[in-house]
Amino acid sequence: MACVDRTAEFFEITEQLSSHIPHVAKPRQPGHVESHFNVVADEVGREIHTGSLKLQELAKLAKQRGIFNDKTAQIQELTYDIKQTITGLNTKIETLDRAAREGFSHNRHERQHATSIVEALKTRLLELTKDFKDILQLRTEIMKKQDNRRKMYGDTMASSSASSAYPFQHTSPEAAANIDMEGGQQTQLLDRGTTYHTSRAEAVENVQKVIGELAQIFQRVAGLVQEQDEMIRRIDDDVDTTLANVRAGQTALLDYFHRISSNRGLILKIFLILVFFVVFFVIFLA
Amino acid sequence: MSSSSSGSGDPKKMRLLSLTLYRWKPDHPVELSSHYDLSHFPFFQRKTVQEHIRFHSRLICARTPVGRRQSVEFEQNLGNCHVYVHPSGLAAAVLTSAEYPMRVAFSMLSEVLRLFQDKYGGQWENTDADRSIGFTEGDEYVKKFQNPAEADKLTKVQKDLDEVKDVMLKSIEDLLQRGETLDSLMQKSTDLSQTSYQFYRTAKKNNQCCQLY
Repeated sequence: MACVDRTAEFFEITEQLSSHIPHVAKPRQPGHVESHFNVVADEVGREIHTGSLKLQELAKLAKQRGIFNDKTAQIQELTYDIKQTITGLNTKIETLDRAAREGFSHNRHERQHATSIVEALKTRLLELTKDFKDILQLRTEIMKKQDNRRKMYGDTMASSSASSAYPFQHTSPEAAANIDMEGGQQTQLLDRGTTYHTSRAEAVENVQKVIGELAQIFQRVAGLVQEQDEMIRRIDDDVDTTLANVRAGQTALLDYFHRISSNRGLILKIFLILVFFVVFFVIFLA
Repeated sequence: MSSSSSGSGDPKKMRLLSLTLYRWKPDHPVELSSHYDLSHFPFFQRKTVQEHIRFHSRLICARTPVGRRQSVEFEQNLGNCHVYVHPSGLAAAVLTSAEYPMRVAFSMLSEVLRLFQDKYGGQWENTDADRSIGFTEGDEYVKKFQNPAEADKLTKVQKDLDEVKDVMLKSIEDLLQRGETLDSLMQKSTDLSQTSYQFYRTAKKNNQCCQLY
C-alpha cells in the first residue's frame, strides 16, 4: 500500500493542539477551585518528593562517622532547609484541606476525591516528618559517640605528647605546644585549661561512686547481720530445749537410782512371801 | 633544670618547690612575691636552683594567656610548672615534682590568688619592678601543700572514703566468717537437743516398769 508520510501533518496538528490545551484544560468545570486545587496538590506532591530526596542525602551525611572530616555545617544547612520545606508543605496542605472541604458543594464525588487526595498527601508528609525525626535522633547519637571518640583521642594525644620527649619538637596535635628553652632544654605543654575542670569533675564523680558502693556494702552488712540474728535465735532455742531435756533426764535417773538403792522392793517382796506363808500355814493347819 | 631529686617516680615524694605571684604582662611579668622550699636540694645548689625556677616561672607565665591555666612538664620527669593567670591580671606559678596532682596545684593557686587579692588588693596593679610584698601566707601555703593528701579537701575526702571502704570490706569478711561459725554452732545445738531428748526418754523408760511392748 502506498505509505504516505504524514509526519509533518501530525506534528502540525500536535502543535495546534498543544497551543489549544492551556485554554482547554483550565475551565473544565465550574469554579477554578478544582484545577487550582489540582495544581496545588501536584506541587505539594512534588515538594514532598524533593523533601524525601533531601532527607536521604541528610541521612547519608549524618551516617558518616569520621571524626575529622566534620560536615556539621552542611548537615545544619540541610536540616534547616528540610525543616522549612516541611513547614511550608504543612501550611499548603492545610489550605488544600480547607479548600477541598469548602469547594465542591455540588459534586459529592469530587469532594470525596479531593479529600482522599488531601489524606494521601497528609500521610506522605507525616511519613516524611517521621523519617526526619528518626534521622535527627540518629544524628544526635552519632554526634555523642563522635564526641566520646574525640575526647578519647584528645586525651591519648595529650598524654602521648607528654610522654614522648624528643628535643626541639615543633608542633604536635591539638593539645600540645612547645616552649623552647635556652640551653637545649626540652619542655612540653601538657594540656589545656579545661583538663583541670575535667579532672575535678572526675574526682567528684569518683567520690560519688565510692559513696554509692559504700551504701551497697552497708546494705549487705545489714542483710548478713539479719540472717545471723535468726541463726542465733535458733541456737538459743535449741540450747534451752537441751537444757530442759537434760534436766528431766537427770531427774528420771535420780529416781531410778533411788529406786535401785532403796530396799523397799526387797522388803515388800519378803513381807509378801511371809504373809503368804502365814496365810498358807493358817489355812493348811487350821 | 640543673639538679633535681624528685624524678624517681616515688608517689610519696610529691613536693611543692616554689610559689610565685606575678602581675601579668605579655612579655615580662612583674614578680610580686615568691616563696621557695628547696630543702631537698643540697645547700650549695639552692641559689642556682632558685634562679632557674624564677626564670622559668616568669617565662612560662609570660607565655600563658590571661584567664587560662597551663601546665608545662619538664624533661625526664623533673617536675611540672602549673600557671594560672587570673582574668584580673594577677598570675601565680607553682613548681612541683612530677607526681604532684595537677588538680591540687591549681586549687592551691586559686586559693592563694584569692587570698592575695583580698589582702593586697590595690597595691599590685601599678608595680613595674620586681617586688617582694610580704605575703607570709605564701610560705605557709607552700608548707601546707607539701602534703597534698592533707591540704586538699577533695583528696582528703577521697582518702577517707577509701579507708572506710577497706574497713567495711574487712568487716564484711569477718561477718561472713562469723556466719560460718554460727552455722556450725547451730548444727551442734540441734544435735545436742536431739540427743538430750533421747537421753530423757531412755531415762524415763528405765523408771517405769517395762510394759513389754
